[in-house]
Amino acid sequence: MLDVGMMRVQDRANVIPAAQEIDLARQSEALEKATTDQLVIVTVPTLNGEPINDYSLALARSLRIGQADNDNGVLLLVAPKERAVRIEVGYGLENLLRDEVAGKIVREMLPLFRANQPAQAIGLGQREIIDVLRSDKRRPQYLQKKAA
Amino acid sequence: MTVFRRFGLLAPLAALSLTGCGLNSVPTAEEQVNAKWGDLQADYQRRADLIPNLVETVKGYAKQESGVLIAVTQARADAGRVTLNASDLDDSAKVKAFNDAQGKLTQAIIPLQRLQEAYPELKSNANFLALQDQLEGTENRINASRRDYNEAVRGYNTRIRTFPDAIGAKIFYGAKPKVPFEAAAAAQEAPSVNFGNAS
Repeated sequence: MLDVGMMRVQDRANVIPAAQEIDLARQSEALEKATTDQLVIVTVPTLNGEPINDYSLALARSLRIGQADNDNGVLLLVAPKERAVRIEVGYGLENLLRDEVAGKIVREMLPLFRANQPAQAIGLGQREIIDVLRSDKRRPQYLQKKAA
Repeated sequence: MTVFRRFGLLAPLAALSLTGCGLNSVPTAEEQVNAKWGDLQADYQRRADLIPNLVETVKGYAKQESGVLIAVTQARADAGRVTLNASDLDDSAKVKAFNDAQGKLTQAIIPLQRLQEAYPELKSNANFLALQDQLEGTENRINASRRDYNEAVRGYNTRIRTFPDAIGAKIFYGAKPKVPFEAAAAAQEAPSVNFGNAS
């Protein structure tokens, strides 16, 4: 599980304005309260020549995103220098945020990246990911069961 | 340490070393290998299931590419004929045959994944895009599962060769080292999403 106090938005490439960063973090926090899913957004200055798929999986594992029992973490990784973006999904959410759903979200983000609006692209991506994750109506019940 | 865990780490086998001469730790390490093998096998199966649909979808748009489609279909059929059971994971010839067949399929798929660059109409076909996403996701899962499997094999092989577990491994289990999956060098070339107009 992601450490408490670990930042949900890590703008290491410095492409997100500070005010929006706080908003993104709040959205992720609200999502986690509602569903226990952990959505973390990271931008990196460089991938050091690594394919983004390998980089994002290693990063998601090292941050330990998601609840250990549920593997319900999502990482939105953006590498502006390599012009690459990836949504990495824990096994626990793969039936909800499926490959083709994540792929569609990425495709919707691309025009904004191309228009050099990375912060807007990230905001759009986060909203769409959250919509998908909140669309599973069974999960509040699951939460209540867990709390009981 | 469930097999479902994607972002988690492998359970540290060292914690079990107090059990002495491998009576428990060797089977545990072997189960770990078999579980990771099961994950990898499921990923390969998922890929095999996706390919016919993708080939069928592409057919309608890119008739000139029948060579690519035939090669993919052939590679899939060849890979399907080479099976590998968990009990064969210590047989390097069998592991190599399986890995080679799957590696050829990986290579055959690459031109298929690039077709959309040549056929813009494919880009607006939602069915094609979804299959493409699923195939790319499956390729990523195969790579991740292969690494996890190799990690488990390394742990197991170290264990059965290291005192004191080696004693139990040899006497009680006749344990033989397992064979890791070599990744084909060119497997890295698979295309990935980026937002174009290279920097």
